[in-house]
Amino acid sequence: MANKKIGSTLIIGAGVAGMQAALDLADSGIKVYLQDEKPAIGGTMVALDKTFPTNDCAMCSLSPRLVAISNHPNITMLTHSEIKSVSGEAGNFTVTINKKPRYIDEEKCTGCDLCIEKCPYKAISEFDQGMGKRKAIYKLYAQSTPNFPVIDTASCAFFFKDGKCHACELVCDPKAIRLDDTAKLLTLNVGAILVTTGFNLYDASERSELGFGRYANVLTSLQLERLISASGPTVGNLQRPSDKQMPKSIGFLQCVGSRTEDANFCSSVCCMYATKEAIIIKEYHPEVDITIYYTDLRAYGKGFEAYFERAKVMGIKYVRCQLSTIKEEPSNKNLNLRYITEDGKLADAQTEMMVLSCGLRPSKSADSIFNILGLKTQEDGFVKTESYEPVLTNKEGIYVAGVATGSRDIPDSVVQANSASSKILSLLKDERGTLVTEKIYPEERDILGEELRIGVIVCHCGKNIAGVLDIDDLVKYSQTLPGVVFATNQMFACSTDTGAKTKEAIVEHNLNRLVVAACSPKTHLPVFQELLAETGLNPYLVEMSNIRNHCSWVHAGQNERATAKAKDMIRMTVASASHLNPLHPLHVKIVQEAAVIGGGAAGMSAALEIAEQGYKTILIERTDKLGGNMITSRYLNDKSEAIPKLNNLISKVKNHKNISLYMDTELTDFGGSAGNFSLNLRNIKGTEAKINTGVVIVATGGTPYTPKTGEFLYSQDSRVVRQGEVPWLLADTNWNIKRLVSIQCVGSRNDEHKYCSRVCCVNAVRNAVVVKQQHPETDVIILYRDMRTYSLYEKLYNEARDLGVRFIRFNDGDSPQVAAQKDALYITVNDALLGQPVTITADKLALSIGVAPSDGTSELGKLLKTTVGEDGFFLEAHIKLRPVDFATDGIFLCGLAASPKLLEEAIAQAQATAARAALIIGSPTIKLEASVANVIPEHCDGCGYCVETCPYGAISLVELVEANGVAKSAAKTDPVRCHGCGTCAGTCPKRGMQVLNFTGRQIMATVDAALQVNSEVELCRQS
Amino acid sequence: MSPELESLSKSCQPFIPTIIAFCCNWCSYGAADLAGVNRTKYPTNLRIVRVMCSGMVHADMVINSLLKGADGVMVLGCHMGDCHYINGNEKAARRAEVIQEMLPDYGLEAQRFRIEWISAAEGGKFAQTAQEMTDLITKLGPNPFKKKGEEPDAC
Repeated sequence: MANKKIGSTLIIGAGVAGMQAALDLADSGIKVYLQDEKPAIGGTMVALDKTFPTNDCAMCSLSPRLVAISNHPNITMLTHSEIKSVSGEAGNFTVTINKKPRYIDEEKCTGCDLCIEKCPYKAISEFDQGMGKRKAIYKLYAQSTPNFPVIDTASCAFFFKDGKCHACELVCDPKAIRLDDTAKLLTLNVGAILVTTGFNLYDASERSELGFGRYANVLTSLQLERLISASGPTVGNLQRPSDKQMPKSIGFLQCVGSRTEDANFCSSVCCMYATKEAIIIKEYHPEVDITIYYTDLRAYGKGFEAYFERAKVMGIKYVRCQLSTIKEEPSNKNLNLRYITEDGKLADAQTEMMVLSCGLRPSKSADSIFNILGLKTQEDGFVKTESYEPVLTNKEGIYVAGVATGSRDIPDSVVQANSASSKILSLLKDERGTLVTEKIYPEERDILGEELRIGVIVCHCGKNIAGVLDIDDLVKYSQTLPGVVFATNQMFACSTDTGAKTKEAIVEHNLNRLVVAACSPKTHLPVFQELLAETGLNPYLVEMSNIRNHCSWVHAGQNERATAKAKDMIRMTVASASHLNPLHPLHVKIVQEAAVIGGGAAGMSAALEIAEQGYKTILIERTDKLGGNMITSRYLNDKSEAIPKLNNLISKVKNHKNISLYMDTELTDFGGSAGNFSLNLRNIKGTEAKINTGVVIVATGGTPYTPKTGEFLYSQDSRVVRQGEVPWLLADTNWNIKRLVSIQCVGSRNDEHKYCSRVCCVNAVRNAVVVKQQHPETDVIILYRDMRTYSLYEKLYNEARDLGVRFIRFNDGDSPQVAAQKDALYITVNDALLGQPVTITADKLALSIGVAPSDGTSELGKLLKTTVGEDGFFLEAHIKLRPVDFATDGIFLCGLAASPKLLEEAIAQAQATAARAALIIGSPTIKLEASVANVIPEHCDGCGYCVETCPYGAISLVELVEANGVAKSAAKTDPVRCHGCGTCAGTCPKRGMQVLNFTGRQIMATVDAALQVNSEVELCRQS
Repeated sequence: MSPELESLSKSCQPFIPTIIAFCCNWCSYGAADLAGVNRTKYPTNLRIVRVMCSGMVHADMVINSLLKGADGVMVLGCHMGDCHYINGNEKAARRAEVIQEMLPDYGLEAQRFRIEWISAAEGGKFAQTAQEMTDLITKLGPNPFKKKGEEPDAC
């Protein structure tokens, strides 16, 4: 018998992937140690201004997580530390960690920043990519989590000079400075280890010909990110380093340090981040001329193609070329570019600033960590994972996620983190809850009978709000509103450090309501509810005014009118908040089981993963076969055979004791809420079944685009086939194809399907490689628009070229023409390289058809009440940070149902849903909606209109004996069934039905506040 | 005077309407959030009141808003079949018909009230609806119930 398993996990690397896994695991009852070499968590995402393709503010979407982690009773952060040794085995590892001296007593430090202010010594800020200064005692970034400073001994005079400077010590009231601090060795006992070491940007100075480090106005993409960020060294003012002037023109050079001989991979994110930075600059400064110099534009992810199109509409220029030199013009420090256009012509251009889109490299310390852990790596230094098990390493009990396994973007990293969490939850399923502590809140303060004491916080949201609205004016105005006793402004109201200030303010001013004028309550209300609970106020006493999404973001350029509108908005929210009352939600029992809809590779993987964690799972498939699109696949992308893998998966599913199969079955009715869904199923014979379950996973897949009859002679000439048929043709021993031509983007990136189908380039190139390997004599040509072999699939592309596969590019909207002759197919393509049409013959033409949404997607969406996006695929709750959650609690999505993706990515998503599902079905009860309907008996005359209208059957008529002894019929609500929709309140003729904290009086008070004055009219009058 | 204010006073419109928009939490409020994310511009006149469901908005709320001086009122909910609470929007739709019929009795144009279905994915439609309503109400002129002193000539 091996050692006892331990209910804890060490996560190495606290970027977005590590943070996600920490929260997944800690919320599911696993004790988490979140380690990072840096003095604060957050990874690279905290340094970003915004994220593609929604231009969401990076800090805004991340800071609720920073807050959640720093407050989590089951997460211990081990920042500013390094891994020394690891021993043991899956379930029971012993790890030693060197905690480097921070020179701060973390027990005593309040994070007040006074020491930083007083420190007389400065150093270059690493966080600002060398463009700004920081003090010798510093915080990595303004919202640093944990919120303690650290002393950099190299720039602190106490250490490098004479030991005389004690400025920080003298000013620190709580006596938290420890100049005699030393390194400490910690020994941890953990059940599992997750590696999320992320990346470092490619060091652009290695390519000296590009001038980085020599020419002042050549920057890296991350430097530009800091320059346009409100929290950056120029507070978001775009200025070029040489003369602090705004550049009139900016050039971006793509693929710096990617797709080279020593980095045989595509970094996956640079095309989109360059596009994003360009869009952000264009939004604020439409006059700036922006050109992106690139080779292939890889807009392969969900929403990317539309983003790229939007950039072009905004006037951002894309030039396909090979850049040969960058030379500085000594007189004005502008940059002269020389490049070779696609058709071989030499061209020159001048730009005032040049940005190098640097690629991703495994993190610098990763090598030594992988060594200590004994992990196998690939030639590029990324961790080698098991084939089609994207988070498993060669060591049992050690998992990997995010860029540590290869370049990928934020959502794909988050998915892998979820997926690794699920694996860990399976490994440690019997140890859940053994090492954790419940979070204890202070006793709730009774505010009954207190007069209103409202606090108002106006958030800058970096420049998102403050760039448009006059924050000081809003704060001053808020102070005049009835009930308001305190108003202030904050840079990021949702961050940990400001959260602490808000809590102080609540206590100091004895507040009993809070109004946060910031962003959307849909995303951020829980952050502030938590803050209230931590100060002993009922969490339902806070309300938000969405002056970002509904004002500053949509009225930029009309700054004064927007500020006037924001005043009205805050006044409305204050009026509404005045009517908030404390609420206490009920907890009810749930069904600790799952239902998965769709029996393809994703659905089966999700079911298996949940079943492995120990929950009963049903798998519903509408056809009579498991396997979905995988049934027709012959090869996987690692060129191995697909069918044995599929059969293995099917037999695991069929034989798992926790999985029940419902074949030939469809969902016909759906109701309930997270923890207690009810499903009505009907099979092909008409037999119905009623199922109760806690969570639902949607894995309904996608369908191959069907070319229209005659589209490239499809279904008219037998020599025209689908790309997926090519591997099966190889099975024929009489293969005699002399030339195979593929046409890419059939049914993708066009008017009908605007998106890129992501899988077609990889599939076509893989097929080309396999054909060449088996039949070197066959001539293989691929006609394409952009070769989107992203991430490590670049290797396939290079392999294909090495094998002699030819690639001919054609321009958007200039599709090849196909004519059939008896002897061959004649394909005419306008070769973009030659700039003229060429005609090639082929005896086989393979169409790389795209992926379309599965039939019935929108009907299923209606049944489940989940949103379907513009492309016809299901829409996730948050494109970056919640890629497998629906906005509706308890329903999750994975695989092609969400968007086109490769099998390995679909499997990772499927496994990810299992970790998300466990957050609900892992505990026997769930907290119900607190804001439910309530009868006001003196207004109710028992008419029963509400009983009829309630969609949940939550209202009944009962006999009520009034104070005077007279009995009457009156409505009664069932708080378990009630969802708080308020249809009853909207129907009641007597105002006898009210939804708590959405009462009629409260809503009308909001309207009254809106109509009291229109500040825009006032503004107009004053002028 | 800032250039913005200058142009505002020069072009000072006949009046600046105040439009109350009751938005359901799940669809139309999400659409307004998305319009923000996409930086889709629309007029500043909307005053959004977040409700959990369009079915929560009592007919009295619409009528009283108008009687108290709102120049226009909108109820924005989920598309039919998409309601987060099964069918609250269907009830809102039926109520809307009644409201439309009642408004002329108060001496108000029925167009001052509009009900529309906007999903959380339709940021563009949200902005367009805001624009259309603002244009329409600007053309109709101020609400006759508006308090003294807020009339156009004061501008």
